[in-house]
Amino acid sequence: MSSCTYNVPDKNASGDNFYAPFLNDTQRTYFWDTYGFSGNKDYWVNGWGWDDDANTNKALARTFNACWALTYSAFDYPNDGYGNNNIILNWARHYVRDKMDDLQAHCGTNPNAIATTFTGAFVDDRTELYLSFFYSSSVIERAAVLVHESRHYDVGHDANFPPWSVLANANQGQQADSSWAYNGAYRYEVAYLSWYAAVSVTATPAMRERARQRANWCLNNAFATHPGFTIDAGSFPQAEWRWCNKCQGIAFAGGSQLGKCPGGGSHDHAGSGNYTLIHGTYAAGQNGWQWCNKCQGLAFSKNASQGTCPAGGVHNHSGSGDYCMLPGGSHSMCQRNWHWCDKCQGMAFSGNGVGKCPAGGGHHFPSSDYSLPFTS
Amino acid sequence: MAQPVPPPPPDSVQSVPKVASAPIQLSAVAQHIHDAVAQLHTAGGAGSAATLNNLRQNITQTIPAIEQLYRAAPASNYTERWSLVKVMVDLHHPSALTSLNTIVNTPLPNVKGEDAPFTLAEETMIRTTAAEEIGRQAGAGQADALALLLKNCQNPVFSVKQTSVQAYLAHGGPNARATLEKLLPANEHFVLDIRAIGPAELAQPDAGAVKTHSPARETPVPSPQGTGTAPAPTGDAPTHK
Repeated sequence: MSSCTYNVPDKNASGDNFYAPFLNDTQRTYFWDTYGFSGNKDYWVNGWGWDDDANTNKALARTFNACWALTYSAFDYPNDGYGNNNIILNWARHYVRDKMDDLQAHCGTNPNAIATTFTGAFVDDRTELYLSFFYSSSVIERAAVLVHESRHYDVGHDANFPPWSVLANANQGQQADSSWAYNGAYRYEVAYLSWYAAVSVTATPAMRERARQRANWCLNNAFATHPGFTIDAGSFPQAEWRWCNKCQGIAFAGGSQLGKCPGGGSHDHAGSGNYTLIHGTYAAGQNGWQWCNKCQGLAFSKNASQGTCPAGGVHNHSGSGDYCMLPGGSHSMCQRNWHWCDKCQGMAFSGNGVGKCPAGGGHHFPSSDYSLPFTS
Repeated sequence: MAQPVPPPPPDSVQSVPKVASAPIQLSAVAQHIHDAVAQLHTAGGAGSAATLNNLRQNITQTIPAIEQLYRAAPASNYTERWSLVKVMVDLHHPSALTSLNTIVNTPLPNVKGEDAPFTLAEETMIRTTAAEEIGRQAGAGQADALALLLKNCQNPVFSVKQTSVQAYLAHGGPNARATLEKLLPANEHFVLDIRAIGPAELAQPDAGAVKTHSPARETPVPSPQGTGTAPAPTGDAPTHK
């Protein structure tokens, strides 16, 4: 038996303080039974946290945080099927569940080794996680390691690192992927991290950025043939969208001025949470929603009528991105009861009545409901 | 017939006992930096703008203080060191340029073997995070930043070079590509064509015909609702009027 020691670094910076409050015992039991821990209790006792599984100073709780991110980052997390163009953010948890054999905590022989997966005819199939996985990585990087290592149950790496890689002269041997088309562990990791950064409904700004940075590191260093792209920070969701307590609509509150409200004066965001809107193409949602540069509100732009704007005339979407609204779902980090108004084309909350519509009277809600991710 | 190689025996682990020390008195600036790091790691970065504004008001002390904290952090505390750099980045202030460029151009540690992939990836991510901000400031019209950006297009760390080239192409004016073609050796010209894209443009991984490991694992996933300490939608719902 080897013995090793650890320090617990800042748990804000690692994301453990953000994720830990979400976990409960039902989920921990599910993770234990589902992601390859089961049958490996001997590897999670002796200080690794089996008997203290909610303590994020311990390795097991820190791994469970990664399992939570792996399981619940997609707003429609129950949809984890491989087909129908489902994105890897959804099916990664299914993949880890299907692939991960024995998942074990070990000291590791090197201080900064992360994980190794052993497979083969005469090998006890398993994934070993080492100290740096638990204590030097952020939560999302740990989740990505679980995805990466799961891929190794099907394929290993097939190339040396390219001459431009920081690992080219680090005595690594054949530990890179030859190309994006190889469909190896680095492609899985990059795609998972990229979607997490762009559409996760349970992420901090720091976790999104770390996910993107890690994805770009892989793209720039771990493919023998460069895939030809990196991941753009512009794909991140946008915070500072807030509910107006006068008109019940949602408007951007992060600009230099608040927009004009159909309830009179400017929008009043007192009492609102901070909503984070996804933008860019995302098949799970509906694109075509845009910001109006006159009233700061959000309105559907794909109909012939752009809808009445409280600032006069119709909404003007010049300068706006393409926001993606999510259909009603069950995720605890999304709020339902948001609806499209067919009079003003705007998005408004229906839980407090019909609000005030710029087209006159209250909003009219013929649509099914939408879910808006919120963060605080 | 060969027998399967058994897995290694279980290991044990324990935390390093903390050395008792006198309470550390943080300066006001250091406290604000500490707050900014914490808020970076909250959902939506709640309160982040106000804390960053506080730091900007005292920018002459803030930048050296962040750099000092960064240098003092143990090398292997990558998430802490990266978070400090991210706060410096989020200030979006020209005063940070020199410090950011120093971080970008600090040589990578010479690590080989099993430690190298993680160590060098983390060290690179710290540098590219700083390098991207130099690109942003160049885009905002900072002439100093544009000059540094061009120098960083020749940085020996490929990720720094790539992100700097991408930014220089965007902000270096109509002759940017020609300038870089002269600057970079021919075998690196492929960097000029690396595009920044969103995930929807990625060719998705193909899970193929996945063999399930064990039917017993196909249990229904529990709800993500936490123990009650997590923020709940009702807490953020618009209040009834």
